[in-house]
Amino acid sequence: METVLRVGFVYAFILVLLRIMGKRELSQLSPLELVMLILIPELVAQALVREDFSMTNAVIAVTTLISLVFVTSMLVYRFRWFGALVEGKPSLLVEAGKPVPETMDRERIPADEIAAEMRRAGIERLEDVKWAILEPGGRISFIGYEPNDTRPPPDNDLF
Amino acid sequence: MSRDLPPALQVDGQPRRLKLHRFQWIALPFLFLVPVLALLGVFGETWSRTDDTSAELALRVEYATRYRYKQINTVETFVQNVSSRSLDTVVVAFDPEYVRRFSTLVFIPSPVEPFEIELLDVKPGEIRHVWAELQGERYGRHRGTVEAYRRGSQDTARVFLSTTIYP
Repeated sequence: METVLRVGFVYAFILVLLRIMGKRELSQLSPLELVMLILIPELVAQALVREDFSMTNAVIAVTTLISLVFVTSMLVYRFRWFGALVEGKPSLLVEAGKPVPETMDRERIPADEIAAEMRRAGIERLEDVKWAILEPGGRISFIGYEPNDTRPPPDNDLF
Repeated sequence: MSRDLPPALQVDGQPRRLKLHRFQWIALPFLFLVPVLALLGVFGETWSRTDDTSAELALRVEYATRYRYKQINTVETFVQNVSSRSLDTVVVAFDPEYVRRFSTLVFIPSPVEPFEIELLDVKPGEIRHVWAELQGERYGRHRGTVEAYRRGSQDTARVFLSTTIYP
C-alpha cells in the first residue's frame, strides 16, 4: 500500500516540478538540467523502494507508475483544460516575422536560440517566418510564408 | 501571459472521445488491479498471534504470516510459567525445517543448541520473552512449530506457524 502512495506522490510531485520549470527544459539539456535529471532518480529511488528490494515491490511500483501515466494521458486527451494544465499550451515566439518579446522572456528563449533553431530548420531570415511556436514538448516549430501571402515590412532589431 | 496561437493554427475543434484497443481492454484491468490490490493490502505484511498451553507453560507467538523477499521480520515468543513452582530450565525450540528457510537468523537470548533457547529459573506466573529475527529468503509458504517445555518433561506447549514469502 505504501509503495502505491509513494509512487503516486513522487509522480505528481515531479510532474508539478517539471511544469514549473517550463517547456524549454524538456527538450534541451543544459548542464543545469542534466544535473537535475541525474539527481532526481538518485534522490527519489530510496524513497520509492525503501529497504524493500523484492520483485513484488518492483511490480507494484512499475504497475502503479504505468497506470498513473496511462490515466494521465487519457485525461490529457479527454479534457483540454487538463492537457493545458499538465502539458502546457503552445506559445507564439514569432509572429509575422516579428519576435514576441513577452513570450521569449516568459519562456526564457533568447533571440539567438530562435536564430539557431531557424538555421537548423533551413530558414535564413526572420522575415521569412510567419509563425514560430514553442510547442508544449519544448521544440520550436516554424511556419513560413506561402508565395501568395502578404508579408509585413521588416522592422525588428533583435537579430 | 504568453500569446495564444492565432486561430489559423488552432485545429483541434473536434470532440474527443476515449477509445481503447482490444488488447488494452483485456490488459488494462490487470494493470490497474495490481495497485488497487496493493492499496487494499493484499501484498503487504500480515501478522498473527497463536497460543497454546500445557500443564506448566503458556506459550504465545506473534509473527509475520506474510512478507517479502529480503525483508526482516520477527517471531516474538512469550512463555509464561502457569504452574505453582519455579521451573529450572524451560526450552523454547524453533522447528529447524521452518527456520532454515530464512536467512540472517538472530535469536535473543542466544540459543544453546541450534534453534533451542533455554530460559533458566522461571518463577510461577513469570513471563519470559524470546525474540527471533528472520529474513525472508525462500519464496513460498513455510510451515513449522515453536515448542516450549520444561527440560526433561514430555508436556509441551506447541504452536504452528505458517509464513508466506513473496518473491
